[in-house]
Amino acid sequence: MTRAVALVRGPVSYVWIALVAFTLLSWWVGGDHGIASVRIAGAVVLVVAFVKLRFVGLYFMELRDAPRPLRTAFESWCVGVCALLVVMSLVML
Amino acid sequence: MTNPVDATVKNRLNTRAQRLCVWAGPVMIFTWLLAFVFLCRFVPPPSPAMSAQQLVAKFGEDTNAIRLGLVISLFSCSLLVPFSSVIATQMRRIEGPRSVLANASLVSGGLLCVEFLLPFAIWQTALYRLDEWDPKLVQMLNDMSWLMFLGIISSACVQVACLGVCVLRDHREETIFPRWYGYLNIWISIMWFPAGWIPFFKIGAFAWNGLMAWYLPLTIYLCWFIVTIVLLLRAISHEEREVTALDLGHTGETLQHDEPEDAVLTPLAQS
Amino acid sequence: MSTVETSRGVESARPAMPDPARPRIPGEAGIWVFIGGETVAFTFLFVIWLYSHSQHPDLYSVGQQQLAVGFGAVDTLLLLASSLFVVIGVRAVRAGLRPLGPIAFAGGLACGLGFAISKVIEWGGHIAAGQVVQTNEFWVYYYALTGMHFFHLLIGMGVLGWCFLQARKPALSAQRFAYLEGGACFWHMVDFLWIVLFPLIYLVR
Repeated sequence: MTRAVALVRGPVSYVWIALVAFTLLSWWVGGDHGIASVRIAGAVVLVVAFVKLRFVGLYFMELRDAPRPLRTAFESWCVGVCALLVVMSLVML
Repeated sequence: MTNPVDATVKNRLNTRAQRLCVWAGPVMIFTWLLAFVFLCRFVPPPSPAMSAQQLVAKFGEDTNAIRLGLVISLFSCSLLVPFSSVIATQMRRIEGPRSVLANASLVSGGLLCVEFLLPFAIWQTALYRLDEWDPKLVQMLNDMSWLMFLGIISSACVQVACLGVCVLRDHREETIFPRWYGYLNIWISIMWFPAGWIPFFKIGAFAWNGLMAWYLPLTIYLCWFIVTIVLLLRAISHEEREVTALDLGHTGETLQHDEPEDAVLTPLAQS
Repeated sequence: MSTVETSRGVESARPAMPDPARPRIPGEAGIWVFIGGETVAFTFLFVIWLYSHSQHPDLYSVGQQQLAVGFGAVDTLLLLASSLFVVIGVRAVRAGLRPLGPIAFAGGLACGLGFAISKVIEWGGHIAAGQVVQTNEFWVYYYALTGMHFFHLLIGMGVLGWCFLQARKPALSAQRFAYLEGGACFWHMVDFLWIVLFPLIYLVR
């Protein structure tokens, strides 16, 4: 157990705790008791999702240490698709 | 230094027949696609939500063009077999004598050919007495064709998955196919998977006229052909050069032992 | 003797600071062709979902009311836990901690299994309530998207099973270790795809 803890000491464990917190936050925001406007709530949970996704990529998949083209491709996908989905949800829904 | 490839090497490696089989691939895919798009007009496919009467009306527009398209498709799809054969041959270079993956890939490729041919014959049946048959029967035959044509994707998945695994198991210094091609094939195998689930959907992206079940797998299939053709041609030329170099090396070595030094230069000088 | 080795292993396995001067590709270059392709395919699914949602707002608003958000959220937490297990597993193998590596991969696998069971229960409830794939557009895409993800989860579980077997070996060749890292990345991808699918399907009204 202590060994396992030693292995993930540092940024990875903070990231993991943040991911769990974000999940619970989305659950709450996405429910009926969060933000008044459904549209804004939807956009917020989408942005939160892509922030989480980026964390998973950078820290769990270790893309933070990857060569620049790979990391850039990943991050631009995150930003691009997040923007696309948020705009779609705001404009079309 | 590259050596020109000797005719005996070409014979030994059956290079000309191998290249012929590779070119069967593009002939197949382009003839079939042209026939399917311009004669059969199956792109976009008739919607599964269409009524039997609408379908008969659609087929009735230019029945002979569809028949011709189907006949051309039937001939072109048989070329899948030589193409699968040359893929398996190159896979055998990786696997050696116990080439289970190459065999599995070859047989799956052959099965895929059958899975192309049968639905075409069923469409031909639907059109054969289009005006005499109850529209419901035409609809049933059309359903059957699409469910077979697109729904039976599993053997295609096995063909590329075997190829992918085989490529990743190539442990020589200079691999026959690049390693990313192995991963690409496994990915393609997964991407074709939604096509197998069309029986559940009559509307949307997962129906037989949808993005995920038809357009994406079809686009990927086309891209797979292009990449595979280029890599096969490269693999064949590479083997020719490799064997030629090996032959020259061999000759050189034996000559070095047995003959005076001048003789070593002779085969090189000829080149 | 093993203790000495192990403690040294833990030492070296401490998360290294990102070192831009010495970048390395996780797994190997080819695996990123695969992960990139999968990610693009799922991007289509995200867009299809929102497009269909905008075309049938009534069906989606009724359908989303009938979904159990709790399942989606618990599934997300299960996959996050499994991802942490897999991170520990890779680092343990890297550090040569033999008993810990396989245990961590087995933990990841167990969380994956938990996700699968939860999904089957969730689907079972909807099917019993008559909400099946043929019901309407909402259910078409609900089953299609969760089903596609489920299929990737099953593949990922197979990959984790393989990683578990590799982690039990006393030593791994560089190639095997690259596969192990690539497999771990595939699992994280299964995780991050669900991270987007969860809000998209359950929360974006």
